[in-house]
Amino acid sequence: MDDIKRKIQKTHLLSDEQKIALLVEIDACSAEEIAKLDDVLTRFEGEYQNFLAKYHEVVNTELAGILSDDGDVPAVREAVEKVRTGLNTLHG
Amino acid sequence: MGEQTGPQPIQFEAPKPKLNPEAGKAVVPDVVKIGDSERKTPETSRAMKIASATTEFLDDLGKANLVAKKELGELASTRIGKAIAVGAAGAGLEWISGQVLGKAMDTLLLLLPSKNEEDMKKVKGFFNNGFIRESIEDAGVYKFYKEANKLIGDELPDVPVSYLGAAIGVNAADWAIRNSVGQENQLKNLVGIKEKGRGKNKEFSYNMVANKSYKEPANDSKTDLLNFIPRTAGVLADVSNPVILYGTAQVVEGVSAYARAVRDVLRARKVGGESMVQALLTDAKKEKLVGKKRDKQERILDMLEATKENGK
Repeated sequence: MDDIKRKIQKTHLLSDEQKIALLVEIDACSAEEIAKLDDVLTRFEGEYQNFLAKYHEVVNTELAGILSDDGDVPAVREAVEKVRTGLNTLHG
Repeated sequence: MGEQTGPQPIQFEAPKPKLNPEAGKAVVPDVVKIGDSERKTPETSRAMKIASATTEFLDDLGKANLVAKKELGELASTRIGKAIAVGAAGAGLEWISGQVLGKAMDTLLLLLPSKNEEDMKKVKGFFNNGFIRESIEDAGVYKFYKEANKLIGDELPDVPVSYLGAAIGVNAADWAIRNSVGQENQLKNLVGIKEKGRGKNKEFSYNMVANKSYKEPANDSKTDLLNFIPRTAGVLADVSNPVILYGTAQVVEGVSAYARAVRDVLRARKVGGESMVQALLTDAKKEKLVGKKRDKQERILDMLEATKENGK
């Protein structure tokens, strides 16, 4: 049960509101329902990580080029930092 | 693809992920403005690649999100389905709206006196208008809200005003904002919206993650209007998770900041040639040096303070 609760909390599929509603109900769910939910959440997280890895690869390549060419400009470095912060947030 | 002739059946892919067709696009025009109108610099190209990658990421995610939500939706008679419905009723379960749109289309087709090409074009034009489309989708969400409420024993609060009327107002504001300030600012604002828990779980309220750090400039005359956007999850790529909304909004913001920084360099290059660019960079290096010097002074002061403290 703790495992599914953790998955609900960490999933990138649902809004916070949906997570709260699910966590409230989860204890009363049948084993079959939980198994289905677990399956959906696990598959979605796998896909999410794949998309994120692909996204990271493209963006990081471009950021490396940007820093190599214009890394001396403070505003550019700040912009790059913002993009990186955004990417890192997506891991949360 | 060649042009089709004769009456064509209009097919709606329902349910459809509510990927905002404007998502990411607003970044591109901004980026394209860098330098001369048609010429793509390496900088422009890089910024556009990041913007495109962001759009693609949201698009992929929106599709996967839709599939997963459909599977969860199939559990509609179970507690999980109900729990999802509670959240979805607030945020909008997008795939339902696609189905409603399809039904509205079918009904309209029945009412049409003929199905010639001209009529079809008019109908397509009507439904391709984003404002109309979103209004109809919202009607679908309202219907779903009522259904969900019935399913869980009327635990959700009553909708105090006509949801549809409100939704049309919301859409009008939404479109006006998108057209006047662009998708980027809208994105930034979306991540700052507060949401409250609904129904019996009113004690659970939350702020979207982004709201903790993002602040709209107070002196922006459009801020009041922006703050009015009551839409949250459903607007962007069928993605309702605040972490994703915030992360991608930051990337978009970063790309735009990069575009602005590069624009300054390119303008300088255009106006004053390489010497001006060098002057910019020299200034930048000076700033860096000044910064370092200040840091050094602060460190020395800290050390002095520490020495004083130890000497006491």
